[in-house]
Amino acid sequence: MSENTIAANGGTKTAAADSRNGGVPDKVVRKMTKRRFGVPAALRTPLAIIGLIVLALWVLVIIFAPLLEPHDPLDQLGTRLSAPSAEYWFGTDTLGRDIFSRVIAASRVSIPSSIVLVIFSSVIGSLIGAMAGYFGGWIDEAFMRVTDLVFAFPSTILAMVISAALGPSIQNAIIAVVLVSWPTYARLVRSLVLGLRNSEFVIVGRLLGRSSFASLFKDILPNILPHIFVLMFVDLGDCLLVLSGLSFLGLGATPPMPEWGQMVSEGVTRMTSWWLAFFPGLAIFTVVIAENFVGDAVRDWFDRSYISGNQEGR
Amino acid sequence: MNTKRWSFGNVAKIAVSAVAAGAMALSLAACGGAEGSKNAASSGSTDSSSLVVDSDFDLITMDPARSFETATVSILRATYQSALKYVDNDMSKPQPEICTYTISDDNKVVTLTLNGDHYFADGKKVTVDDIVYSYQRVQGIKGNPSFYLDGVTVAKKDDKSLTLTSETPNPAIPYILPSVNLGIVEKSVVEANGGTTDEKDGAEKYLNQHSAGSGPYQFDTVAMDSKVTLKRNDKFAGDKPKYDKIIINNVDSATELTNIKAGTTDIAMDINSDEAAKLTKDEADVSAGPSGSTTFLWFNADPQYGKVVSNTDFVNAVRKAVNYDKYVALYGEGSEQAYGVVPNQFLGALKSSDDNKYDLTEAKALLKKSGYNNEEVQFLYSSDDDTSTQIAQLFQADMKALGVNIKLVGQPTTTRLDTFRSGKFQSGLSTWGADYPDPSDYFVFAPNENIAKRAGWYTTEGAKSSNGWNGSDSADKIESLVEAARNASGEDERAKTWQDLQEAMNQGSPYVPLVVQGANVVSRPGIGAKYDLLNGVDYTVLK
Amino acid sequence: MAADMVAAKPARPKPRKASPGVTAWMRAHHPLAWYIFKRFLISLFLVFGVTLITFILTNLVPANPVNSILGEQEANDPEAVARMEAKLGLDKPLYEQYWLYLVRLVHGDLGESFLTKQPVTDDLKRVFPATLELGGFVFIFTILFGVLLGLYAALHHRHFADQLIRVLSLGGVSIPTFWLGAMCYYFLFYELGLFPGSGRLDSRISPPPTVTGMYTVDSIIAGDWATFGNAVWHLCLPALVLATANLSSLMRFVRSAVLESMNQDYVLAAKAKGLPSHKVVFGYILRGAAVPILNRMGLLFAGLITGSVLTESIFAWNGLGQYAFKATMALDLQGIMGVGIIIGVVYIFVNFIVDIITGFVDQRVRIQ
Repeated sequence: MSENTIAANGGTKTAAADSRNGGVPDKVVRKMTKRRFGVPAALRTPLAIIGLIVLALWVLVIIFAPLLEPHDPLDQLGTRLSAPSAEYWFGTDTLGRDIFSRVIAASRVSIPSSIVLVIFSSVIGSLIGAMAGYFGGWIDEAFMRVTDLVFAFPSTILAMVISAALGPSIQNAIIAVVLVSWPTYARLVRSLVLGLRNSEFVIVGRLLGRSSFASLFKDILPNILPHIFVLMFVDLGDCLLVLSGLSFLGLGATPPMPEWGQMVSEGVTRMTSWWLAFFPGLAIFTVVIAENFVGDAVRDWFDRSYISGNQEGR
Repeated sequence: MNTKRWSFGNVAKIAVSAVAAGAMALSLAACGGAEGSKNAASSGSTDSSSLVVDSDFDLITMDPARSFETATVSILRATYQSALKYVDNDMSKPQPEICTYTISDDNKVVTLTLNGDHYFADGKKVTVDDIVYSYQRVQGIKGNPSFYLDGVTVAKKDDKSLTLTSETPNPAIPYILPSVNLGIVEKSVVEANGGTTDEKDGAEKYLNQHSAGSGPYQFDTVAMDSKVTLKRNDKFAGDKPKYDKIIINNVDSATELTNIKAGTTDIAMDINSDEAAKLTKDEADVSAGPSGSTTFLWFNADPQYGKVVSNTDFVNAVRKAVNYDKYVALYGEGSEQAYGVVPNQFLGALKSSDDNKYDLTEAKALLKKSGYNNEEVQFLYSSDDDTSTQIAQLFQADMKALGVNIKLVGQPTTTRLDTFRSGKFQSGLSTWGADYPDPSDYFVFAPNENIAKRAGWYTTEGAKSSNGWNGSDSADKIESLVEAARNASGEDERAKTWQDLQEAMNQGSPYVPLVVQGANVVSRPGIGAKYDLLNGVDYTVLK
Repeated sequence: MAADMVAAKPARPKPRKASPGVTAWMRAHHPLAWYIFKRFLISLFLVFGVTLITFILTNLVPANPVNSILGEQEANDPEAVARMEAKLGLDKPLYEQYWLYLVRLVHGDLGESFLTKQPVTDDLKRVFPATLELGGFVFIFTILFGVLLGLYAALHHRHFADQLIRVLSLGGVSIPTFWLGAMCYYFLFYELGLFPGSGRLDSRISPPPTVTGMYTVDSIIAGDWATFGNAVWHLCLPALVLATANLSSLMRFVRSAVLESMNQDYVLAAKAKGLPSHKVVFGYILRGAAVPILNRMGLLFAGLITGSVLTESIFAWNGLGQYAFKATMALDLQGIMGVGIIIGVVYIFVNFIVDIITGFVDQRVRIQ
């Protein structure tokens, strides 16, 4: 999974509210970042714009998939393994199905499942991390050791074994990846909560009689949510890669519904028909790279405005 | 801050020079590598002393008495001799190898007589004792192939001959004997390495690394997951084989294709038919033919597990709704439609069948009769096998056209076998590979037998000892035909009874035979490897 | 993930009671030794945990190992099944099975793989060097170029080179490994023939005599340069594929670590003092970034050993990843357990080493 500087910094910074502008008056910040139309400068780089356009296109594809498919993605009417042509833009697969239509149809499986995956692992990881950071003591110790263990155990292989044991399906693949990916969130949230739990506004809240639960969810959580969102966004591309990797190995999505990773694996055994693997893989690549372009910009912007307000250089 | 202790300046300089050095080493190595391989490639075309074979294998055991993997067969075929053999894919009559045979009129006693002198790699002569020991070991250690000689008593008659006596008539014995599993091992060597003729046998470890046979080759090195090399057995009694050395590499099928095209391999075992079809004559010879594997659909015949699919009309509707040509096309060159469970080139096979014919209108009528009401049907297949996955989807589409709602359930092969064996799954795709080219091997499809159990197909009588399954009418109806086939003697009668049995199965059984899978062997021009039904490829006949 | 490790490191300073005796004395007088000791204990705990996880995991797998081991005929024979269950110890309660498993483990016995019918230890001895060879090759390559390019990008922050490196590295982490592998395989090998196909050596070349099991090293030891060249040549394509994502992500990491270090007070002070720029870069900036980068390297190495399943499966590289995959598909429990343990141990060991190096390099960690 990709590195992220937020996590690296998160633990050492104090309340986001305090350092929001790094002590610089609001006006100056506004001038420096030149907010136009409410879009931060960091998000107006060429890369981010390209990324946003590509992502927007994919969102449209997902929404209008049935309208965009020239053929039924499950229809086996074409000649088997025919090369890209005017009729079949991306060629046909081993059963004579239109690969272009299948690539489009697969967007409805691959992208939403990675989003679901990110949501699950962030929620589970955040809850565990928040508990550990807030309550400390043996809960924290136990939690740290468990995350150490999950990190120490080979995640790819763990995911492989879990999905093989549960039986191959996209749901089981998601479960398997969630089981190995939650600690990333748990560690981030734990360190953020550690940083915040002794800050003044939390202590004041406790003194005013808030329960631990309320203190955690009403005082602390709103302050760390943006961090979690940024990590989720940055993580999304990785999750798509991991999930399609499992499908590639035959442990993810099941036929006949098309899935990109699984489509690539169908092509690998047939070298003379390069189009089988090329186009679905290209689809994964465009989504992930667009997502990373945007994610990179979001992180830059976030680091600047939330965390490193005093380090304009970054 | 003290910079003396840890100077990153120096480290970086070292790093930079190391990169440069590394890059140089790399480019040098790459040149060397490229040259090296060119040499290898060119030597491939001139050097006739060794034969390079690419095979996508997963060897589990090299003990002939235990092995049951297809990739092992061609290796064992080159290292062990059997009593009898088939020549040129002619399955109608076994020919002598180490022995000649006669069979008694009542089909109960097969007598094998040594046919000339044969020698093991250590120079010792093959004796009747070795043959008797080999057969008794297969029976006694209860490995996968032990059923070959179930109910057979092996006895030495004299120094030249032995008898195989069956309690019931067993006309298949001569057809079974050419199997590599019944290869003759050297008794003294196997015994010295822990071999016995009961389940305490401990010779497998030795036999995994060393061959103890009288074939034209012997094991040189064996790495079961990557590479097997064979060297010539100088003591071999027959003609000296063409190649001194055979190197069998575990290579995935995509690489096999490129290797064949590049000329870096001589024989490729796993090039799929789509790719093979695109090879030109200059690139390779493709030898294809039907294999002994029948792909079939099964539907659980017990209403508690099969539900709607246990209905005979439902299965017959499926039988008519399957577009057979498409399946044959998917399996590629060499494949044929299977008209019954017995592959077309075996004794007793059905050459055609009106029941297994694509006719959607009739299929729909039958489906209506079956009372099917859009229930979801669970369909099991091997998710890690590419062709099974394709076939399953093809079937699902055919069933959609019929109006049957199929839910594909893919499981990795090992898990799938467990599920299938439980006998409780609704339906699925399966393949039966012939153990020996004789219809007797297909009794497993008969009610109460192994395959039938998995498909929940029992006779009323058989169900009583089945631990929870119900008997079905279709099984009871067919029982007399099974008996007739079992008792038949002589080639004509056996063929007739088996054809009758299969006709009946095509009208009322849980099976829908689809395709006799084709198989091929691709070889570099000039090598002339032929697809061998029993062994995949027979290295010993290369000229 | 690496960054999270870093984040987790500066653990919350705990108000500890001064415990009397040896530990307190150790902490006070030999903080480094104490630190190493502590890390060692944690590593031991982790190793134990990994054995527990593998054990639990393999007990959750629904497949019946007995059926898989026994043949068709025998699986129908209840007596044979019972005998095999007894042989595998499956008839004993779970905690006893685990205990027996640990005892065997201590003796280096990982059981017998039913897929290969060989002791798992032997299997691992064979496949591990293949992965180590590929992983080690990629590791060296990645470290050299990753650190240099990352440093270069950071020093030329916001210039063209930085932007280019950024785009390339974002691209590198976005390519699905299996697709890159398949495409490289198709274009560079199948179409253009620039590189050899799968496998570790040409099929006509016999592996060098086994010393380490790594063909490049063994062929050097044997002085067989043709084999060495061929082994390296076979390494190139899988290494390229495996390196792409790893190099990209390391470059980005180094870049941001260096950028962060550039803003530290001591670096600014060194600049203010007017030290020559190369001294500032190598003496101060890189040094400041060393700890996170070292941590990252440890993870990278461990990741290379564990993360090559996809690359290995494309290039039929008979390493740990392929072995793990085959074992998983066949539900070969002993094989899976063996792989899990060896990878876990490697990971823990590498992290332990990195922790120690970090302890030497960075005093802040030691003080804790």
